[in-house]
Amino acid sequence: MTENTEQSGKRRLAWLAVGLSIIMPGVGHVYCGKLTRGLAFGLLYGLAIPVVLGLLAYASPASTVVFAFLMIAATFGVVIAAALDACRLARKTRPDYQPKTCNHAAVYVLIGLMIQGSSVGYALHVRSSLFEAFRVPAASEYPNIVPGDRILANKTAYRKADPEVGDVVLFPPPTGNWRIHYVKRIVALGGETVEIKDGVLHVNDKPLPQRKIGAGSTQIRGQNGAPQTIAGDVFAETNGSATYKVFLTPAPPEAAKDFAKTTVPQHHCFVLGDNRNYSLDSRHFGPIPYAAIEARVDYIYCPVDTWARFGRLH
Amino acid sequence: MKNEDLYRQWRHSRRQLATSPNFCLQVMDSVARRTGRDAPPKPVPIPLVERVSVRPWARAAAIAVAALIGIGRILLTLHVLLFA
Repeated sequence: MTENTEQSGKRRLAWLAVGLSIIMPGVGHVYCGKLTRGLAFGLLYGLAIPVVLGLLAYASPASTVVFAFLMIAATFGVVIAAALDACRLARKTRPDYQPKTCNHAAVYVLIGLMIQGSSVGYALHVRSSLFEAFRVPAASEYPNIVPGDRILANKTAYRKADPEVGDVVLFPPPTGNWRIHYVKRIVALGGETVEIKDGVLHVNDKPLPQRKIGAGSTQIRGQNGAPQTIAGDVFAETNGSATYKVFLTPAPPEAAKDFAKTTVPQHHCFVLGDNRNYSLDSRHFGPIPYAAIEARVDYIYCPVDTWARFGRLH
Repeated sequence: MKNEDLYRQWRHSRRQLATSPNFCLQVMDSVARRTGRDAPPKPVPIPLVERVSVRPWARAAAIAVAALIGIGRILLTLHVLLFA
């Protein structure tokens, strides 16, 4: 009787292996005595999200929704595969299984923390070198980005290519406040001229064609800091090969009506907010150098109002 | 010498022993104390894993708790990545 109890104590329990694998993929394998296999599953789990985000950064998939599902499937797929494999291993172990050095609660905790640490480490690496997430508090990019939207900025976009007209870029404010970032759209590149006459943007002395597509309203912070609602029309503006939405109010502030003709220096770009009349942009701080651009805003991953705007930022 | 011879020799040499008046009570007390001391030992506690293992609902609950912890951990990672 005593011997039977001891034997059942050493037996690998399938439910426990599954539970440990669900908590942390790989630990269930270590419980079954398969240390290397467990670490391999842990590594696979840690790399699942970064690899998918890396593909998102470099491959620019056609469907962001499909890619989001792929990311979720990759993460949970590794967990489920690890649980099933650990269950199979546990059932295969003999009733008189002799515990190994790794069969200790402290080892399970240590390996679990190691895998979780590496997972968070990979996530932080993704943030610093592939994609960084931001919450946009201002309305200067309305109607394309609504205050409260969460965006993904692609840090790999300009590693091998120069910025292009129509790109929405992220950069620290030239005023030197490095704790915040500006999000604006490039409307002209080095060597081109920019001018605003009566609220109409001219690039290289040609007015950009605008087509009204609807109306809209948003809230901005008024001069006294109180929220102020502004209403206006949404236009589709074509600039070179890029077409994007801009928001124009019928009675723009005097400062936004006209902007004297300016030539953009080489390796600089002229940026404007899509909320053309209520934006702090190159009209105030001048063209920005390419080197100041940190990333291109590619995706809205958590829209504040409707999930119809989820996905690639057009 | 056989055991029987030893017994006879002891029986012949026995003598009257002086005992206290409450000798019987002392003996019975001693027996009672010894009986208490030799009570059967408490059962060895069964490990939690063994107790969970024999109950199907406990196994299901343990896996459900594990799933909650696992999902929470994944959400924590996503939070670090997207919302921190």
